[in-house]
Amino acid sequence: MSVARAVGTRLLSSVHSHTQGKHLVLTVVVLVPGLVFVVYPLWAILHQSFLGADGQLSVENYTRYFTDPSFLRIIGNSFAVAIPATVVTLVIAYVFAYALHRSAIALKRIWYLIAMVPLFAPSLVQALGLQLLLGRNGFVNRTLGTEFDIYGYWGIFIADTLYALPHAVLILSAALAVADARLYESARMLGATEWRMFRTVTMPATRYGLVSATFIVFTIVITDFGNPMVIGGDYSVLATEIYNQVSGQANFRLGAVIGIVLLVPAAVAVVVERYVAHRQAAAITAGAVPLVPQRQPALDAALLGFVALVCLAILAVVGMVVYASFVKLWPYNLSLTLANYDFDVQGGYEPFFTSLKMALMAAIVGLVMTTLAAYVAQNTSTVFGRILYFVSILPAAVPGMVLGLGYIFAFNDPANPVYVIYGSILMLALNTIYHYHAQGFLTATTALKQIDATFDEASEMLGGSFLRTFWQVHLPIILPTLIGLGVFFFMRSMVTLSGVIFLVQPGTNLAAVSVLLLDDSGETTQAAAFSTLIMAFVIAVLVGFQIILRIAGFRNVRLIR
Amino acid sequence: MHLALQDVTKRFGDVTAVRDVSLEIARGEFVCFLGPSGCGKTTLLRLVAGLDTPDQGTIRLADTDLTGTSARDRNFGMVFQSYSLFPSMNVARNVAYGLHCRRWPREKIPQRVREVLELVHLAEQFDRYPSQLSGGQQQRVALARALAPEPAVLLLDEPLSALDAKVRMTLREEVRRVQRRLGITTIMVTHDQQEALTMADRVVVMNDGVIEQVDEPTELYGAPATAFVADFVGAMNFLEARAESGGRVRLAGGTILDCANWRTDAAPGTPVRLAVRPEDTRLGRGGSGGTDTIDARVEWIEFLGSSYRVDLRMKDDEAHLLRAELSANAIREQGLSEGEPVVVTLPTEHLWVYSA
Repeated sequence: MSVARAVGTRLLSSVHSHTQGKHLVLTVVVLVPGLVFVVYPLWAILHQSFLGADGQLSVENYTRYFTDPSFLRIIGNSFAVAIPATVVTLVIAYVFAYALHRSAIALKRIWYLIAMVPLFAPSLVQALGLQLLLGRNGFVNRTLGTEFDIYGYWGIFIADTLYALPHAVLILSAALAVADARLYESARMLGATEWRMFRTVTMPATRYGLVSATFIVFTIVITDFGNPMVIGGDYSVLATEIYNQVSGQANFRLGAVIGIVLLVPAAVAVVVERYVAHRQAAAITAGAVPLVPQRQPALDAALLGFVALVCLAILAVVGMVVYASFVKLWPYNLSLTLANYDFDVQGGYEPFFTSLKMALMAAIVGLVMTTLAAYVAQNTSTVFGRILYFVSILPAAVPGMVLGLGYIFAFNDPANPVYVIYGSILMLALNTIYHYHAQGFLTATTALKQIDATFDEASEMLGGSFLRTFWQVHLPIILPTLIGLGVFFFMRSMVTLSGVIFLVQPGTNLAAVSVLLLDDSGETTQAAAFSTLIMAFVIAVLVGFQIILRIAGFRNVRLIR
Repeated sequence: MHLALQDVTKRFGDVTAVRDVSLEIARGEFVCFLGPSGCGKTTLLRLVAGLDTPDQGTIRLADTDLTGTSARDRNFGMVFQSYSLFPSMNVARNVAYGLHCRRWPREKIPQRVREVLELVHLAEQFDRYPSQLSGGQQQRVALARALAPEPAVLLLDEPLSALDAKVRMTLREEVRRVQRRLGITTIMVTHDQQEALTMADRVVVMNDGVIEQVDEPTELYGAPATAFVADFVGAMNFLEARAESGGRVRLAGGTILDCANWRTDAAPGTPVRLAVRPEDTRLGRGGSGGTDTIDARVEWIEFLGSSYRVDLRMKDDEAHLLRAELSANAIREQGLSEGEPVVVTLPTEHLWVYSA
């Protein structure tokens, strides 16, 4: 505590020289929630992982588990899935994004939306679909009489690849969407072949997107919890192990150690990704001529085939879930019914409405908090501003489960003031907000950057007050992005699983958790029905907002991120 | 005096952007702040606008001290280089913005908006959004928006810099026309000397935070007060020389020239800089002249359209080129071509002498 006070005093004295009293207060007010809901829980995990059996600080947890062959095997398993799945996801996503932005194939918008479908579903839907499609009692085995068994390594591998695909496609699309036609014309004039142009012009321009996508996909795969839980079978990975140890055996110490272990690759990935992003120079100059893809029949046909195949895989898996949700008794009685939507176990529709409440709360609170944080971080040059920036993007390196576990250690203690909201929907919403804080914060930052500094001065010269400037000039500019930000938080809250899995309680069960529990208790068709309900709702909300925004006259608002 | 600046100083950290500037501007006058980037011209404009506060000195408008008046309450109009039209408002709403801020009676606003839009010939485009307008149109809307609340002073911060050359020319005339018609006191910041010379009643040349010269454009060009102004405004040849007694200078090669315009009190024998404009540099054919001419060789002739530029290598001073600008007729009459020897005459009345 005395160290913290000493640091605090030094920070204060360094800030005093800046004499930005008004801003300082605001910065601290915005910074405190970040410290409470991100930094403190992480510290709590770290602390817990170094607590010995006698309650003293020691490294015995680490020495014990890192000499335990079964624990080392689980670490090996995690990497054995994560590395190849990352590579395969990237290759598929790159070709997919290339086809969408650099070829003349038809129906690009449709292919893109299909690729985004996994974002609208709880992270275990891929595994659920695969289980229905290729499991022992799966559709394929039943129809063709084969003996496929998808449980285990290959199940996790395929499910995670499908799950991570939209994230990679989003990033690589952004990288491939812009191109300077003049570069290609120059290359062609110099006699470069298509392949050489790809290697020397396209690849270098998208290299940073590729690096960025690599790390994000790797982080997603190694920390994914829902899919391995459903389809992993006996194949244990770190994310499922942490759940089993904490929820099943109340082994918090080991949970904390795994949490720290999971934090390392994710943190490295995020640091490298940020570093690369900072170094990325603007590839497009003001004079650039947009590239219009030319028709290349053979290549276009091949790309179209590939894209269609990928979309078919995504739709087959998701479609199987939707289909199974209407089936009487999978796989024995395939006659259709709505009975699965009665949800006679796990609290029925209750978790869905809890999720809805939580998502609304997260959308509004998250929108306000990330925007405020982005605004303050952008307008503060003090050391507090830099700390605020760091704390705001720190969650990008924190897997949802680790954050959730941290909340248990940090707040499940009546002595802690935050205990008042422990177990409430607000707690779940805050957890989700901070889980996705980095993305929201960066989105808000981009929105605020659209406000040209001279807008303020122009308004001031015309006699506009601070409030009028904000209300009439700033708000209309950033509103579309802010709506997109709210939708983002809403959407993620509806499908999130890993962050909240340790925090839900009987009264505050969430939709995605319900799916997991239904599947776990063998109610596969009801799990499918619940998943379908969530997907349909999220998609309906997205479509609804898109229509509202269109009518309101806002164009080019990105709701999917 | 309408607008008066007295001993205005502005520092940013260790840098003094504006140093002890005093300036008086008459009602209805169009003044340009001209200078290279970083000379303090924009800072000075922002001090007048009230967007920055001077560290020392006062700014008065018609004998009222503006020091305690914020930009919001000064009622000065300002046009920015980046247009700064509010993207979410159409043309009419952009123009009406200041009227609402200044609490004009609601029923008068539409008429005023129409008036100023007609002034800049954009009345038809009232319902367009900024993104649907060209750069030139956007800047005219910005001008209309600045003028709508009938400001006491109009401030233009490099208003034409972001525009194409052609648009810049037409807008230059338009801004001047509107300014004359309204008779509004106007300050424009620019780094483009042509813009300053064509538009301003008076030009304030700034360098390193101080005013070098304040004069009418013809005076500024015809009688530059300092070597900096001579160099910055228009093209100028500079020759190294030494002061002689009797208002004369001696060039490196021994040529002695009578100079009419001394802007230095350098003692005989000390180094000075001799300046002459290319269009005042006369060329003649034939052999070596007297002691008041320079022998040279034509190194390069460049066609400029209405005239030719001739670069001369001086016999006495091989290291420096002397530049002359001649009409097409003069070139033809003298039959000049590259490599030929010529005799250069520098007329006494066009020679300027500055401290070295």
